[in-house]
Amino acid sequence: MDCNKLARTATKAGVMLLESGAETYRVEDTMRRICQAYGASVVDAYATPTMIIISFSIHEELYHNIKRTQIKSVNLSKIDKVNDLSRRITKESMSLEEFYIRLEKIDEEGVYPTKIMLLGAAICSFGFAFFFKGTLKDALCSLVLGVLLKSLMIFADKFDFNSFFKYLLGGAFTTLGAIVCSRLSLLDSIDTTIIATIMLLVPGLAITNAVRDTVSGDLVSGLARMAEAVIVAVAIALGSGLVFTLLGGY
Amino acid sequence: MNGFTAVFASLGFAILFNIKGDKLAVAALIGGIGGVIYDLMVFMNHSVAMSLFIASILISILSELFARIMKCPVTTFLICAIIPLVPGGGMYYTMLEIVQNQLDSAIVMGVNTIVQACSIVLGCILISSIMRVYNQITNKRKSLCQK
Repeated sequence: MDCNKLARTATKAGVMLLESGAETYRVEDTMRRICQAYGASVVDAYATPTMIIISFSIHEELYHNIKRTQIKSVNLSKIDKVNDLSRRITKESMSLEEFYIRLEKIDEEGVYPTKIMLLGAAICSFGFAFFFKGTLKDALCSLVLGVLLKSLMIFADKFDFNSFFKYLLGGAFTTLGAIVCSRLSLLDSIDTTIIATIMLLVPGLAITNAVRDTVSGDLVSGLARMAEAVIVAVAIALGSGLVFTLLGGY
Repeated sequence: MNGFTAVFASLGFAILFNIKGDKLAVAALIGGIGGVIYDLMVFMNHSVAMSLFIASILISILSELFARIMKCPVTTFLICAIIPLVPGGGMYYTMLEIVQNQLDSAIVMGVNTIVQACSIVLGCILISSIMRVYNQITNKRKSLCQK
Protein backbone atom coordinates (compact mmCIF):
# COMPACT_ATOMS: atom_id res chain seq x y z
CA MET A 1 0.00 0.00 0.00
CA ASP A 2 1.22 3.46 -0.99
CA CYS A 3 1.30 5.52 2.20
CA ASN A 4 2.04 8.81 0.44
CA LYS A 5 -1.02 8.23 -1.69
CA LEU A 6 -3.07 7.64 1.46
CA ALA A 7 -1.87 10.96 2.89
CA ARG A 8 -2.78 12.74 -0.34
CA THR A 9 -6.18 11.06 -0.61
CA ALA A 10 -7.13 11.89 2.97
CA THR A 11 -6.15 15.54 2.52
CA LYS A 12 -8.03 15.73 -0.77
CA ALA A 13 -11.18 14.54 0.97
CA GLY A 14 -10.56 17.09 3.73
CA VAL A 15 -10.00 19.94 1.28
CA MET A 16 -13.17 19.06 -0.64
CA LEU A 17 -15.20 19.09 2.57
CA LEU A 18 -13.67 22.29 3.92
CA GLU A 19 -14.01 24.22 0.67
CA SER A 20 -17.66 23.29 0.30
CA GLY A 21 -18.43 24.59 3.77
CA ALA A 22 -18.31 21.64 6.17
CA GLU A 23 -17.84 22.03 9.91
CA THR A 24 -14.31 21.53 11.28
CA TYR A 25 -15.04 18.39 13.28
CA ARG A 26 -16.54 16.72 10.21
CA VAL A 27 -13.40 17.46 8.18
CA GLU A 28 -11.10 16.13 10.90
CA ASP A 29 -13.33 13.14 11.57
CA THR A 30 -13.52 12.13 7.90
CA MET A 31 -9.74 12.37 7.40
CA ARG A 32 -9.16 10.30 10.55
CA ARG A 33 -11.71 7.70 9.44
CA ILE A 34 -10.10 7.33 5.99
CA CYS A 35 -6.60 6.88 7.47
CA GLN A 36 -7.76 4.38 10.07
CA ALA A 37 -9.69 2.40 7.48
CA TYR A 38 -6.45 1.83 5.58
CA GLY A 39 -4.52 0.68 8.61
CA ALA A 40 -2.84 3.85 9.88
CA SER A 41 -2.35 4.31 13.60
CA VAL A 42 -1.86 7.41 15.77
CA VAL A 43 -3.82 9.56 13.33
CA ASP A 44 -3.91 13.30 14.01
CA ALA A 45 -5.97 15.55 11.78
CA TYR A 46 -6.29 19.29 12.21
CA ALA A 47 -8.31 21.75 10.18
CA THR A 48 -8.97 25.47 10.25
CA PRO A 49 -10.91 27.35 7.56
CA THR A 50 -7.66 28.04 5.69
CA MET A 51 -5.44 25.04 6.38
CA ILE A 52 -5.42 21.26 6.82
CA ILE A 53 -2.72 19.22 8.56
CA ILE A 54 -2.65 15.44 8.77
CA SER A 55 -0.14 13.13 10.39
CA PHE A 56 -0.25 9.36 10.86
CA SER A 57 2.07 6.41 11.19
CA ILE A 58 2.11 3.07 9.35
CA HIS A 59 4.67 0.35 10.19
CA GLU A 60 6.59 2.71 12.52
CA GLU A 61 6.98 5.23 9.67
CA LEU A 62 5.58 8.74 10.16
CA TYR A 63 3.76 10.54 7.31
CA HIS A 64 2.51 14.13 7.15
CA ASN A 65 0.72 16.38 4.75
CA ILE A 66 -0.19 20.06 4.92
CA LYS A 67 -2.59 21.77 2.56
CA ARG A 68 -3.54 25.42 2.24
CA THR A 69 -7.23 25.84 1.45
CA GLN A 70 -9.45 28.63 0.27
CA ILE A 71 -13.03 29.40 1.08
CA LYS A 72 -14.91 28.53 -2.09
CA SER A 73 -18.52 28.26 -3.12
CA VAL A 74 -20.85 26.42 -0.77
CA ASN A 75 -21.87 22.97 -1.97
CA LEU A 76 -23.77 21.03 0.68
CA SER A 77 -24.43 17.97 -1.48
CA LYS A 78 -20.68 17.50 -2.01
CA ILE A 79 -20.23 17.38 1.77
CA ASP A 80 -22.97 14.80 1.96
CA LYS A 81 -21.38 12.60 -0.72
CA VAL A 82 -17.80 12.72 0.57
CA ASN A 83 -19.02 12.01 4.08
CA ASP A 84 -21.07 9.08 2.87
CA LEU A 85 -18.23 7.68 0.75
CA SER A 86 -15.77 7.75 3.66
CA ARG A 87 -18.20 5.77 5.79
CA ARG A 88 -18.52 3.10 3.11
CA ILE A 89 -14.77 2.24 2.91
CA THR A 90 -14.85 -0.39 5.59
CA LYS A 91 -18.34 -1.63 4.74
CA GLU A 92 -17.56 -2.31 1.07
CA SER A 93 -13.81 -2.96 1.57
CA MET A 94 -12.93 -0.41 -1.10
CA SER A 95 -9.34 -0.22 -2.29
CA LEU A 96 -7.48 3.09 -1.94
CA GLU A 97 -7.35 3.51 -5.74
CA GLU A 98 -11.05 2.95 -6.08
CA PHE A 99 -11.76 5.39 -3.25
CA TYR A 100 -9.60 8.05 -4.91
CA ILE A 101 -11.33 7.57 -8.27
CA ARG A 102 -14.76 7.88 -6.68
CA LEU A 103 -13.60 10.96 -4.78
CA GLU A 104 -12.48 12.60 -8.02
CA LYS A 105 -15.80 11.72 -9.62
CA ILE A 106 -17.61 13.53 -6.81
CA ASP A 107 -15.28 16.51 -7.23
CA GLU A 108 -16.06 16.75 -10.94
CA GLU A 109 -19.81 16.70 -10.44
CA GLY A 110 -21.02 20.15 -11.27
CA VAL A 111 -23.22 22.50 -9.31
CA TYR A 112 -26.61 23.62 -10.60
CA PRO A 113 -26.32 25.60 -13.86
CA THR A 114 -26.41 29.38 -13.56
CA LYS A 115 -30.04 29.55 -14.75
CA ILE A 116 -31.23 27.37 -11.87
CA MET A 117 -29.08 29.38 -9.44
CA LEU A 118 -30.77 32.59 -10.60
CA LEU A 119 -34.15 30.89 -10.23
CA GLY A 120 -33.16 29.97 -6.67
CA ALA A 121 -32.26 33.59 -5.93
CA ALA A 122 -35.59 34.69 -7.41
CA ILE A 123 -37.62 32.24 -5.27
CA CYS A 124 -35.60 33.25 -2.24
CA SER A 125 -36.04 37.03 -2.42
CA PHE A 126 -39.68 36.66 -3.53
CA GLY A 127 -40.38 34.54 -0.44
CA PHE A 128 -38.50 36.90 1.86
CA ALA A 129 -40.52 39.91 0.70
CA PHE A 130 -43.71 38.22 1.94
CA PHE A 131 -41.96 36.93 5.05
CA PHE A 132 -41.19 40.54 5.98
CA LYS A 133 -44.81 41.49 5.37
CA GLY A 134 -44.32 43.18 2.01
CA THR A 135 -46.90 43.54 -0.74
CA LEU A 136 -46.93 41.83 -4.12
CA LYS A 137 -45.30 44.92 -5.68
CA ASP A 138 -42.42 44.73 -3.19
CA ALA A 139 -42.05 41.01 -3.84
CA LEU A 140 -41.82 41.48 -7.61
CA CYS A 141 -39.24 44.26 -7.21
CA SER A 142 -37.13 42.15 -4.84
CA LEU A 143 -37.44 39.21 -7.23
CA VAL A 144 -35.88 41.25 -10.04
CA LEU A 145 -33.28 42.80 -7.74
CA GLY A 146 -32.48 39.37 -6.27
CA VAL A 147 -31.75 37.91 -9.71
CA LEU A 148 -29.59 40.89 -10.63
CA LEU A 149 -27.78 40.72 -7.27
CA LYS A 150 -27.05 37.02 -7.72
CA SER A 151 -25.66 37.64 -11.20
CA LEU A 152 -23.46 40.38 -9.73
CA MET A 153 -22.20 37.95 -7.08
CA ILE A 154 -21.45 35.27 -9.70
CA PHE A 155 -19.59 37.90 -11.72
CA ALA A 156 -17.63 38.99 -8.62
CA ASP A 157 -16.69 35.37 -7.86
CA LYS A 158 -15.38 34.92 -11.39
CA PHE A 159 -12.99 37.84 -11.00
CA ASP A 160 -11.92 36.90 -7.45
CA PHE A 161 -13.14 40.01 -5.64
CA ASN A 162 -12.23 39.83 -1.96
CA SER A 163 -15.23 39.06 0.20
CA PHE A 164 -15.42 42.46 1.92
CA PHE A 165 -15.54 44.35 -1.36
CA LYS A 166 -17.92 41.82 -2.87
CA TYR A 167 -20.51 42.22 -0.11
CA LEU A 168 -20.01 46.00 0.00
CA LEU A 169 -20.80 46.10 -3.69
CA GLY A 170 -23.81 43.81 -3.14
CA GLY A 171 -25.26 46.01 -0.41
CA ALA A 172 -24.70 49.16 -2.45
CA PHE A 173 -26.23 47.66 -5.59
CA THR A 174 -29.35 46.47 -3.78
CA THR A 175 -29.94 49.84 -2.15
CA LEU A 176 -29.37 51.69 -5.41
CA GLY A 177 -31.76 49.37 -7.25
CA ALA A 178 -34.46 49.77 -4.60
CA ILE A 179 -34.12 53.56 -4.62
CA VAL A 180 -34.48 53.60 -8.42
CA CYS A 181 -37.58 51.38 -8.14
CA SER A 182 -39.09 53.63 -5.50
CA ARG A 183 -38.45 56.77 -7.60
CA LEU A 184 -40.33 55.05 -10.41
CA SER A 185 -42.95 54.23 -7.73
CA LEU A 186 -42.80 50.52 -8.55
CA LEU A 187 -42.86 49.50 -4.88
CA ASP A 188 -44.72 50.23 -1.66
CA SER A 189 -42.04 49.85 0.99
CA ILE A 190 -38.41 50.50 0.11
CA ASP A 191 -37.22 49.02 3.44
CA THR A 192 -38.96 45.68 2.89
CA THR A 193 -37.62 45.42 -0.64
CA ILE A 194 -34.04 46.12 0.44
CA ILE A 195 -34.18 43.71 3.39
CA ALA A 196 -35.75 40.93 1.31
CA THR A 197 -33.06 41.24 -1.33
CA ILE A 198 -30.18 41.70 1.09
CA MET A 199 -31.11 38.48 2.90
CA LEU A 200 -29.51 36.70 -0.07
CA LEU A 201 -26.13 37.92 1.19
CA VAL A 202 -26.63 37.13 4.88
CA PRO A 203 -23.77 34.94 6.20
CA GLY A 204 -26.00 32.08 7.37
CA LEU A 205 -23.43 29.39 6.69
CA ALA A 206 -20.68 31.21 8.59
CA ILE A 207 -22.94 31.76 11.61
CA THR A 208 -24.17 28.15 11.74
CA ASN A 209 -20.69 26.72 11.32
CA ALA A 210 -19.21 29.15 13.86
CA VAL A 211 -21.72 27.91 16.42
CA ARG A 212 -21.16 24.24 15.66
CA ASP A 213 -17.36 24.63 15.67
CA THR A 214 -17.43 26.44 19.01
CA VAL A 215 -19.66 23.79 20.53
CA SER A 216 -17.34 20.98 19.43
CA GLY A 217 -14.32 22.77 20.89
CA ASP A 218 -12.67 23.97 17.66
CA LEU A 219 -12.19 27.46 19.01
CA VAL A 220 -9.83 28.74 16.31
CA SER A 221 -12.24 27.85 13.50
CA GLY A 222 -15.22 29.05 15.50
CA LEU A 223 -13.69 32.48 16.05
CA ALA A 224 -12.49 32.72 12.45
CA ARG A 225 -15.97 31.96 11.13
CA MET A 226 -17.62 34.35 13.58
CA ALA A 227 -15.20 37.04 12.36
CA GLU A 228 -16.17 36.20 8.77
CA ALA A 229 -19.86 36.59 9.62
CA VAL A 230 -19.29 39.97 11.30
CA ILE A 231 -17.12 41.24 8.43
CA VAL A 232 -19.78 40.27 5.88
CA ALA A 233 -22.56 41.90 7.91
CA VAL A 234 -20.55 45.10 8.31
CA ALA A 235 -19.69 45.15 4.62
CA ILE A 236 -23.35 44.86 3.60
CA ALA A 237 -24.39 47.61 6.02
CA LEU A 238 -21.54 49.86 4.85
CA GLY A 239 -22.40 49.41 1.18
CA SER A 240 -26.05 50.10 1.80
CA GLY A 241 -25.32 53.06 4.09
CA LEU A 242 -22.89 54.55 1.60
CA VAL A 243 -25.55 54.77 -1.10
CA PHE A 244 -28.09 56.27 1.31
CA THR A 245 -25.58 58.89 2.44
CA LEU A 246 -24.50 59.78 -1.09
CA LEU A 247 -28.08 60.12 -2.29
CA GLY A 248 -29.20 61.93 0.87
CA GLY A 249 -31.82 59.53 2.24
CA TYR A 250 -34.60 58.25 0.05
CA MET B 1 -49.51 35.35 9.10
CA ASN B 2 -46.72 35.23 6.56
CA GLY B 3 -44.56 32.66 8.31
CA PHE B 4 -45.09 29.89 5.78
CA THR B 5 -43.42 32.00 3.06
CA ALA B 6 -40.15 31.05 4.74
CA VAL B 7 -40.61 27.83 2.72
CA PHE B 8 -39.69 29.77 -0.42
CA ALA B 9 -36.76 31.48 1.28
CA SER B 10 -35.33 28.16 2.48
CA LEU B 11 -36.01 26.49 -0.85
CA GLY B 12 -34.15 29.26 -2.67
CA PHE B 13 -31.19 28.95 -0.35
CA ALA B 14 -31.18 25.17 -0.68
CA ILE B 15 -30.87 25.61 -4.45
CA LEU B 16 -28.10 28.20 -4.04
CA PHE B 17 -26.24 25.79 -1.74
CA ASN B 18 -26.61 23.03 -4.33
CA ILE B 19 -28.78 20.60 -2.39
CA LYS B 20 -30.44 18.06 -4.66
CA GLY B 21 -33.43 15.76 -4.76
CA ASP B 22 -35.80 15.11 -1.87
CA LYS B 23 -33.44 16.83 0.58
CA LEU B 24 -34.43 20.08 -1.13
CA ALA B 25 -38.04 19.55 -0.09
CA VAL B 26 -37.13 18.60 3.47
CA ALA B 27 -34.89 21.66 3.90
CA ALA B 28 -37.67 23.93 2.62
CA LEU B 29 -40.24 22.23 4.86
CA ILE B 30 -38.13 22.65 8.01
CA GLY B 31 -37.54 26.31 7.11
CA GLY B 32 -41.27 26.78 6.66
CA ILE B 33 -42.09 25.18 10.02
CA GLY B 34 -39.53 27.45 11.69
CA GLY B 35 -41.07 30.51 10.06
CA VAL B 36 -44.62 29.55 11.07
CA ILE B 37 -43.60 28.89 14.68
CA TYR B 38 -41.76 32.22 14.84
CA ASP B 39 -44.77 34.07 13.46
CA LEU B 40 -47.16 32.25 15.79
CA MET B 41 -45.04 33.10 18.85
CA VAL B 42 -44.86 36.78 17.88
CA PHE B 43 -48.62 36.74 17.23
CA MET B 44 -49.13 35.39 20.77
CA ASN B 45 -47.29 38.46 22.12
CA HIS B 46 -44.02 36.79 23.03
CA SER B 47 -40.87 38.86 22.52
CA VAL B 48 -39.05 38.57 19.21
CA ALA B 49 -35.94 37.14 20.87
CA MET B 50 -37.97 34.44 22.67
CA SER B 51 -39.79 33.53 19.44
CA LEU B 52 -36.49 33.23 17.57
CA PHE B 53 -35.08 31.08 20.37
CA ILE B 54 -37.97 28.62 20.27
CA ALA B 55 -38.03 28.55 16.46
CA SER B 56 -34.30 27.88 16.30
CA ILE B 57 -34.61 25.06 18.86
CA LEU B 58 -37.38 23.49 16.80
CA ILE B 59 -35.41 23.83 13.55
CA SER B 60 -32.34 22.28 15.18
CA ILE B 61 -34.32 19.31 16.51
CA LEU B 62 -36.02 18.71 13.15
CA SER B 63 -32.70 18.99 11.31
CA GLU B 64 -31.04 16.47 13.63
CA LEU B 65 -34.02 14.15 13.23
CA PHE B 66 -34.11 14.28 9.42
CA ALA B 67 -30.32 14.02 9.20
CA ARG B 68 -30.61 10.67 10.98
CA ILE B 69 -33.55 9.50 8.88
CA MET B 70 -31.97 10.45 5.55
CA LYS B 71 -28.39 9.70 6.64
CA CYS B 72 -26.75 13.00 5.71
CA PRO B 73 -25.00 15.85 7.58
CA VAL B 74 -27.17 17.95 9.89
CA THR B 75 -25.98 21.20 8.30
CA THR B 76 -27.66 20.24 5.01
CA PHE B 77 -31.00 21.19 6.56
CA LEU B 78 -29.94 23.41 9.44
CA ILE B 79 -28.22 26.12 7.38
CA CYS B 80 -31.05 26.53 4.87
CA ALA B 81 -33.75 26.48 7.52
CA ILE B 82 -32.10 28.89 9.94
CA ILE B 83 -31.31 31.63 7.40
CA PRO B 84 -34.86 33.10 7.23
CA LEU B 85 -34.62 33.81 10.99
CA VAL B 86 -31.34 35.76 10.78
CA PRO B 87 -32.18 39.36 11.80
CA GLY B 88 -31.35 41.01 8.48
CA GLY B 89 -34.07 43.56 9.11
CA GLY B 90 -32.52 44.63 12.41
CA MET B 91 -29.14 45.03 10.73
CA TYR B 92 -30.68 47.17 8.03
CA TYR B 93 -32.62 49.46 10.37
CA THR B 94 -29.53 49.91 12.58
CA MET B 95 -27.60 51.03 9.52
CA LEU B 96 -30.44 53.34 8.50
CA GLU B 97 -30.53 55.05 11.91
CA ILE B 98 -26.76 55.57 11.81
CA VAL B 99 -26.97 57.07 8.32
CA GLN B 100 -29.72 59.43 9.48
CA ASN B 101 -27.48 60.42 12.42
CA GLN B 102 -29.93 59.22 15.08
CA LEU B 103 -27.38 57.43 17.22
CA ASP B 104 -29.69 56.86 20.21
CA SER B 105 -32.16 54.77 18.27
CA ALA B 106 -29.28 53.19 16.34
CA ILE B 107 -27.87 51.83 19.60
CA VAL B 108 -31.27 50.53 20.70
CA MET B 109 -31.74 48.85 17.30
CA GLY B 110 -28.20 47.47 17.30
CA VAL B 111 -28.49 45.93 20.75
CA ASN B 112 -31.87 44.46 19.81
CA THR B 113 -30.35 42.91 16.70
CA ILE B 114 -27.45 41.42 18.65
CA VAL B 115 -29.83 39.98 21.25
CA GLN B 116 -31.92 38.42 18.47
CA ALA B 117 -28.84 36.92 16.80
CA CYS B 118 -27.68 35.59 20.17
CA SER B 119 -31.04 33.94 20.87
CA ILE B 120 -30.85 32.06 17.55
CA VAL B 121 -27.29 31.00 18.33
CA LEU B 122 -28.33 29.93 21.83
CA GLY B 123 -31.07 27.67 20.44
CA CYS B 124 -28.58 26.02 18.06
CA ILE B 125 -25.95 25.60 20.79
CA LEU B 126 -28.45 24.04 23.17
CA ILE B 127 -29.59 21.33 20.77
CA SER B 128 -26.19 20.54 19.26
CA SER B 129 -24.66 20.25 22.75
CA ILE B 130 -27.41 17.87 23.84
CA MET B 131 -26.95 15.82 20.66
CA ARG B 132 -23.19 15.60 21.29
CA VAL B 133 -23.79 14.16 24.73
CA TYR B 134 -26.40 11.78 23.29
CA ASN B 135 -23.95 10.60 20.61
CA GLN B 136 -21.22 10.02 23.18
CA ILE B 137 -23.58 7.92 25.28
CA THR B 138 -24.73 5.77 22.34
CA ASN B 139 -21.13 5.31 21.13
CA LYS B 140 -20.05 4.19 24.61
CA ARG B 141 -22.93 1.77 24.79
CA LYS B 142 -22.07 0.37 21.35
CA SER B 143 -18.43 -0.21 22.26
CA LEU B 144 -19.49 -1.82 25.56
CA CYS B 145 -21.79 -4.18 23.68
CA GLN B 146 -19.00 -5.18 21.30
CA LYS B 147 -16.75 -6.03 24.23
